[in-house]
Amino acid sequence: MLAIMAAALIAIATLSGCSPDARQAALSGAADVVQTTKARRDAFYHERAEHCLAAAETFDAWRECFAPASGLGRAVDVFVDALRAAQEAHDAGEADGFTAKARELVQAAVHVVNAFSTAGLEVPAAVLQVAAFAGEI
Amino acid sequence: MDVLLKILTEAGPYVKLAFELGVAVIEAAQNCEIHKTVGEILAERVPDMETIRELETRAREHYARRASVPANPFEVSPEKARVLRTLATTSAPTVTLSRADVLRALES
Repeated sequence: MLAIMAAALIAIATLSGCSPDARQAALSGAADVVQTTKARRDAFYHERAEHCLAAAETFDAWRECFAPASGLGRAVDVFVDALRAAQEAHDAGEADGFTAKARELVQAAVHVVNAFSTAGLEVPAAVLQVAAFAGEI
Repeated sequence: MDVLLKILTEAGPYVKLAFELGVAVIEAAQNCEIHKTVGEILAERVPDMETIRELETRAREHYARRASVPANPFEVSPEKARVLRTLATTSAPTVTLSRADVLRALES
């Protein structure tokens, strides 16, 4: 699930010229990507579920087969919760509060990276750059 | 070679997803709609885990249905067997079975 992570980097980089508020740009860009990729994620979950139905003989085996997908979904939801919390802190205008929420956001982003890794794929360098960027929010 | 093939087969869907989402990321970045807050953008979002739970429920039901089917499709209940035996072994042109016999056999 590099996309959610890459969302921050690419969106932030591209959007930096759209607004003087880099924080809002970062948050909105990431949220926008979460939203616009929802249908694709759903399609992926359904494909994976069908694949596991064909491959697994029992429900337990199905869950094991489906674990990378469910891990991904869980990580994305946590990431969204962290985004909302960071937005609230940003709206409150408290620098310290936002910094704390930004740390949680980075942590959630790391979980998304881990979920992607669990799928057995190497995490692209761009994703790591996103994490590094997120750390600077 | 087999291992490599297995890895590629397993990774296929993820690579596809990553590519598609990557394209979406670029499109989203071009939207430039940063005047909206996270809450506004995600106002009508359905959590991913809701979809996951629905799929889990469907899978659970699928395996439950499968488990309820007898392993041997020719296996019949003792009651059905008794009725079938009566039918098969009789030499009479007609067979007398009570309504209760038939109902019991059908419900067994």
